[in-house]
Amino acid sequence: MSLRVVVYAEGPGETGGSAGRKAPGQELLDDELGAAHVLVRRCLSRGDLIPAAAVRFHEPLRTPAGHVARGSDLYNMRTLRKLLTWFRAPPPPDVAVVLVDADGERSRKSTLEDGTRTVSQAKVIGVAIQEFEAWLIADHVRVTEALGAPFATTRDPETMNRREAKELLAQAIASAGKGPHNVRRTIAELCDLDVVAGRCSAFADFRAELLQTALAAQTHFRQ
Amino acid sequence: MIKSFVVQNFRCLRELDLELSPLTVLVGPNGSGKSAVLAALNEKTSVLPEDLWRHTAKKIVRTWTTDTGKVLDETVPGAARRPLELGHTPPVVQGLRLDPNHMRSRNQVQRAMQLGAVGENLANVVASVTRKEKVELAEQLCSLVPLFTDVDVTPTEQLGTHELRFQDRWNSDLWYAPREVSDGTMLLTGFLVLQYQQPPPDLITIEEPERALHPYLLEQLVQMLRRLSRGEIGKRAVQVVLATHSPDLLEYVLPEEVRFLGRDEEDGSTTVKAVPANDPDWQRYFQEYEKSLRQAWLSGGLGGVPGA
Repeated sequence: MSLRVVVYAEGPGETGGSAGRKAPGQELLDDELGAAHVLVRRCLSRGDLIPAAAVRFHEPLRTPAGHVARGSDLYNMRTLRKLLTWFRAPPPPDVAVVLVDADGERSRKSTLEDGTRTVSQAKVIGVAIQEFEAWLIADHVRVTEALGAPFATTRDPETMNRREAKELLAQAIASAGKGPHNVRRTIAELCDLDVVAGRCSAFADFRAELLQTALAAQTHFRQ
Repeated sequence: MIKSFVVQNFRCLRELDLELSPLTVLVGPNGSGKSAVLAALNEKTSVLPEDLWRHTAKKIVRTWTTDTGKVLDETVPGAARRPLELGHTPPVVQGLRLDPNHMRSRNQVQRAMQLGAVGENLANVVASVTRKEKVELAEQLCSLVPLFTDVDVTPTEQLGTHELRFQDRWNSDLWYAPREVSDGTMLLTGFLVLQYQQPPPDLITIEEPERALHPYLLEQLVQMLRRLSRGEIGKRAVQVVLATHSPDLLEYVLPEEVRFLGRDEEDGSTTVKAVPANDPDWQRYFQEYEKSLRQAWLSGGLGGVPGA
């Protein structure tokens, strides 16, 4: 038994550098996953309701123009609806995860949800305040561990200005002299999800909604 | 009409069952097996030992199912061809991969009622159609490429040869040699002349018909080939199979005309998938994609894309 998941996100910072190398529907190997995949898997397998090994990630659909969906594609309702509309083969995922940045737009989540309400695909739309990096920097202890260098901020990630968390993390990674993809993924692997949820309300909401949606989509995991 | 074609052990076609419509469009990434299908469809394709599936199969088996029955062919490369069953002749297939440079060539004057594989005898074919057909051909070409008002064949200074020429729209005394006109003009001339071939083949295969054509002309071309395949032009219906990578071409074909080719993940053999055009699920899906096969294909949701 497996749970087929696809992840759409802003860019390679979330989904890793391998996006677009496989045909839509093909399963991604572990080393092809990005920080967002790792976080999604950890959220789903929390509480042992869904075994981590059962969460399988697949290459998502591309935009109608044929490119890997990024940032603004996900805010375009006509494009997003298509990205969530699969035909039979490749088989549709059990859950599609859309992870976008709020970028200061408070209504973004409700706008995206309203626009895709009639799409039958089981989906979770997570909107990070202000951006995905806010989730990654939330657990200072684990960020320090991943960087191999001290990392601390005095402000709560969700109170930061737009791009502040992104730039803070980028600078810290550059100072540490490490590869951004590896550090981001390592943070996603190490971070204490409860700490992140405690500091980022958007992540707490996303985590709860993701698990609920996945369990509803895959009834056998509830037995 | 060929209703279906089954081929075993030919190149990457381990076992492929292809349903054919009057106009069929094969879509798939490089190396998906489109050219192999076109070659296999033609009974006259010469088969070499390296054409056997994985170089290990013993024989290539092909079955054409037509309106009138089945034709079975078994080929062992290097061995004498086994005669086909009496009364069962395979369909006559014309394979085309038109090349504008070859189409521009001067021809040694001789009657030719069939276009060569790369269009190398285009001048002879144009010269061999009837006067009425030549007028029609010129009208059709000039409506598609309104830079010209006529197309004809003219002797060259090289004894016994002739070549095409195209009359300028604004100066009727000015005729252009083939080297002076665009690739698209040459290709369109070749496509248009297909309706006048005598005798017409049963099926024409065309690789990458979209090359050098503006999308507007591509639509006209697809419409012309569809009419040819339905017997609305030409001497009788001639089935057409196209192989393409072109998203633009997909905008002009019907879902039921398309076959998406890919490779099987287990053994690498070519797979084929048709669109279930009458299925309500498909119709809902297609509606979401704004009834654009181009968009649906590029999204990767139908197969026939690289990496599959």
